[in-house]
Amino acid sequence: MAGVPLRIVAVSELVTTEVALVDLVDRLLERGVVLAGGAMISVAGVELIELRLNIVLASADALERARERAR
Amino acid sequence: MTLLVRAIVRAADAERAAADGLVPVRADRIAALVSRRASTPTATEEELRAHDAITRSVHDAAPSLPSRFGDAFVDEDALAAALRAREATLAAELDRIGERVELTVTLRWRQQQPPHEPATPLSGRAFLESRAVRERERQRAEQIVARLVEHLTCERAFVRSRPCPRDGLAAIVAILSTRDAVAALREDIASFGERSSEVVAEIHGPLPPFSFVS
Repeated sequence: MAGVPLRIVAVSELVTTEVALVDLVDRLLERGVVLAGGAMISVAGVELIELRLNIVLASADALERARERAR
Repeated sequence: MTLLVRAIVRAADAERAAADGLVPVRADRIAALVSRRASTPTATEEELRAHDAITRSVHDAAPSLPSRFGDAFVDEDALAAALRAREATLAAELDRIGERVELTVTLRWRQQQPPHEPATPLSGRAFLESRAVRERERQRAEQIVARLVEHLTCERAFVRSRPCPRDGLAAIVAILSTRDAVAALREDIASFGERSSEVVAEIHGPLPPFSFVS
């Protein structure tokens, strides 16, 4: 994948600063054009999980049902 | 080296819009305006405020589609390939909404509502009652948004809303507008908030059309 992983600091650190920052987080991390980026959730300097901004998240059984339909 | 994408513009506008050290990376009809970074970006407050200021500056200079923060590429070839893959869609979006601006309206409840996430675990019955209260709050919020939209002199198709996005908020409403209609819209929204006994209306913008791009 072409995108570079992006580290994101824990959201709680962002939302406690001021209301305007909450609005920024809402707008800048949830909306806007995405070409192929990725994001890394990081808490206290420990990288926990990598998110791809252009993937579809689904539960395991939803994926299983989709696989069954494809057969 | 990392390329952090800030906005998409028409190729013809790329040089004019590329202020603040931005570099254009071109496909045929469109271009991405990027910041060259030495390392992988982190979503700190400083970075988010910088991205907000840059996307606004670009949109003031030329029609643009703002990027979500964090859209990053390892080199220009990878970015140009991603641009070409979506070029037709993005060019059409630039034509459709690139020159418009977004007003964001935060509708805040005048009276305190129950928290969305209770501090202590609930019994089964209390959980269901809590869900019912939240559902009634969501329905009230949707009715308020509908009244706001009726109150405005804009097309319903150019409004997007999220009811009850977090504690204390009835809704966040994004309105797409032409620049010359912004002043009238702001007056309409302010008068709606002043008349409402249920919510206070906070207006943000004009902003690039973050809520209307795909």
